[in-house]
Amino acid sequence: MKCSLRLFEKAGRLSVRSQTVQTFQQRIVLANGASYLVNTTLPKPYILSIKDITNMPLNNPKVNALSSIRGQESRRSKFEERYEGL
Amino acid sequence: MFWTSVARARSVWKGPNVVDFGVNVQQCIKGNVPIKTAVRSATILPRMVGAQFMVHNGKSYANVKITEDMIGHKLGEFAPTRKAFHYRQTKNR
Repeated sequence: MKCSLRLFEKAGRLSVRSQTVQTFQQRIVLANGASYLVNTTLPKPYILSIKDITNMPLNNPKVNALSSIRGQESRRSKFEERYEGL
Repeated sequence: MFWTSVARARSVWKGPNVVDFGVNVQQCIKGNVPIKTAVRSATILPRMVGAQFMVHNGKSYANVKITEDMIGHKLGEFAPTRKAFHYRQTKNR
């Protein structure tokens, strides 16, 4: 009886855990200057992103990097470029 | 063997090994006539595309059909000179 009473008393003094996690407001700045606010657990006021959806070649098919002729060279064109006249 | 292939490798500054096969390559392409040659070190040029070659591999002549992807390679790369070895069981054991 005494044992169980002590355990109960000790359990009563445990700290109560909070039901929700504390979040902070964070501003994310994209590569083209746009920014937006998110609620996150990371206590960092703002994040600058260098590569994101606004300048990735995969998300922007009209970027010059993909439409260059150099990326479509074949073995024949390389050979003719190196040894002209053969 | 390996020493020879390293010491006698053709330097880059010499350029491609242009070989005269003794026949008109363009006519052979049109007529679909195979070109018999033992010059394995000949570089494949763009004007050879479509030709049919019979390249000597030390024992016989291997048929090689020249395609676009072979430009810049040597003829001998497409005529292997060695056969894979595998063990055979004999009665004498």
